[in-house]
Amino acid sequence: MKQLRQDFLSSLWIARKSLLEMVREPQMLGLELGLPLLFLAVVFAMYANPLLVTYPLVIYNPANQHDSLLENLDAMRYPDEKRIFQITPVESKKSLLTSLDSHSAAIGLEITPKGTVTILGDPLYARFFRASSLLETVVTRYLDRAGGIPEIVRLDESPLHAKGPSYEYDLYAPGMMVFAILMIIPQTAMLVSRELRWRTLCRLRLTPVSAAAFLSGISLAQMAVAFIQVPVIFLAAVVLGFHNQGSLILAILICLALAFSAIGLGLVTACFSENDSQAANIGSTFTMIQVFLSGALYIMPPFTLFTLCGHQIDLFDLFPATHIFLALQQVLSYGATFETIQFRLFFGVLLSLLYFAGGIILFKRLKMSS
Amino acid sequence: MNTTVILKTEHLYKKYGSLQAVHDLSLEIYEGEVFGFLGPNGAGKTTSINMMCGLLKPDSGTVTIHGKPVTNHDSTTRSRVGVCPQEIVLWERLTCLEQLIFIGQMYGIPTTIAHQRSERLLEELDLVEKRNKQARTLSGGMQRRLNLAMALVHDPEIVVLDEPEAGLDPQSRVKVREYIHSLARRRTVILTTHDMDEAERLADRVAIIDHGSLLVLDTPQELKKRAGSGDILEISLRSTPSEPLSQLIQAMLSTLPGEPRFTCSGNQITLRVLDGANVLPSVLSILTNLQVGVEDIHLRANSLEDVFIHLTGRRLRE
Repeated sequence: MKQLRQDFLSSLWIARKSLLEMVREPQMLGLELGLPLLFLAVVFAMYANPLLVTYPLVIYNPANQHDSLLENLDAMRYPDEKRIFQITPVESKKSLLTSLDSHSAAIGLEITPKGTVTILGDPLYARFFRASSLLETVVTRYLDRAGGIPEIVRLDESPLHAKGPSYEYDLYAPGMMVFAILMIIPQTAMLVSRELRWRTLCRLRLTPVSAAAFLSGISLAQMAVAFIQVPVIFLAAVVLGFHNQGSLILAILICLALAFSAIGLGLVTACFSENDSQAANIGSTFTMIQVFLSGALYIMPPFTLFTLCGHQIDLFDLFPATHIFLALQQVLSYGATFETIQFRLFFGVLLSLLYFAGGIILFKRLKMSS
Repeated sequence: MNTTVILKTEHLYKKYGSLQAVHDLSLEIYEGEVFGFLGPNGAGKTTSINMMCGLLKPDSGTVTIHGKPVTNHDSTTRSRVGVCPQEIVLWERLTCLEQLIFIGQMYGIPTTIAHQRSERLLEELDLVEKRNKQARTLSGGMQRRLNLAMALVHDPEIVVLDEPEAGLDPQSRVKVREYIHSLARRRTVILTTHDMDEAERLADRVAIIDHGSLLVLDTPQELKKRAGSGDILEISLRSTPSEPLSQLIQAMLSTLPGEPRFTCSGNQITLRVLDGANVLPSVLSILTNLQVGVEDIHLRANSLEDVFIHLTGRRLRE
């Protein structure tokens, strides 16, 4: 009991010391708080477009054929009455090709004097695919009708969720928040490993302080930073135009759970680092792996390891970030409630605790034993 | 001298790869003594010290403090030792006072007591004006003094000082030396050094180790007696004498009173002789008669360096 009390007090003193060191090293603290904002700003600059995009369509129709097809295209609207195609007629095929080449148009339509309809576009341009699928549907339907062929296949698109992201930024921001918070992994590892480089860990090893107390102290300091970092991230995201669909408090709680998991992973990283620069390298690699495999940036294909009680357990399920990202995405993008995400959240926190405990055991064995 | 054993090592062995760092080290350190641990760089001093304070696990052998084994798990026994490492080990961004209090807290000392002791140590080591300065802003000498204070906050029974005077400016050297003197008798001090003068000045007993093995252990006076009594007369000649001339010099010098022992290496003649100051004119007279040019003469008392040469056939810094 006495040892437990001493460990508790020691972890508080270590947390205080680490916070003092962080405050006195403004570059590192600035990086920790500023990097997420930079990520969000970059994503905002790149993906500020709405998800329901109006595609620029250039039409070369020298003989003014198929008027009703063009009327149909012009009349196409999304459920919110936004245009699907912004039509621009051009005077020559050369102009049409130039527009496609410069990507000022997503897709082109050529109607020859004989009435032949050709869809043109650059297959390497991302927007062409969606635009061509929409255009092809309309053109095919029009031609079928003109040929007297009854409509067999109909494309009926409507959102499945009552709430959902309406801008690309809304779609990517949660992933970027996860990325930003997972940067705590190298930061935690660096904080621990610097004690190795300075040999101050040797000094601490001479004292009765335990590995658990030492790492808990560092983790407490990092959690204190996360308590500032997470709301700052949300505030920045909202200021930049993020449309939150769910409970902000729930989302912040999920992010704090993610921060806890990142700290656990940072401790594991520190076990395999000899100094802080090595910790930064290994930690950053670990972060990138986590970010990609959690699906925060790209949807990952399933990689089933085994089935447990009827549940498929994928490789990526072994990472707490996967569960926590999915929970966060559900809340922020689709307005999910606690009941909906509690399983993911529970599993994410459980895995975080396991990583945290693993970090302590490994650290004690590898760095704190004689 | 109090001969109550406070720290005892028995048959300590430690190997790093193919290098035998410590080989069968057995010694007893008495309560309240200043124990000098002497040897050249790489002799195994720091490895031995690290095993004594529980930082390093020996391959075999035991270390006991007051009869209790020092292990990784027994923090109470480990806490009886305060270690001032050879390198400066400080938290760069904590102030002097903050880090002393912090390390005290880590030893489980109540904050108020840690605070009082820290203030006292800062005063004793002449750092009181720097109490609120971050460690990284201190000079090397001040950092070393703070390094020493860090080993003492928890009021240990045994203080291990690993090369305490290394890299110190003259002012800090005097301060640290005085402080070690003041620690003597109040605490057991284990002092590792490759500086013979430092060991001779400070230590009650000296252990000399080389290549991981204990060569001798005794008081400095007894050790010097073992190497031979008398003074050392070191003569640098203007040029290296020829073999016949060297033999002639040796023959002439051996006629001097007090059974002088002669060695000649290059242009350097070393003569161990009783009552060196009185023999010196005769030596000079012999050399002048033989028309041997003298560049420099140095007369000194027998030292632990000579003990080391006597034991190993080489100088400490070779």
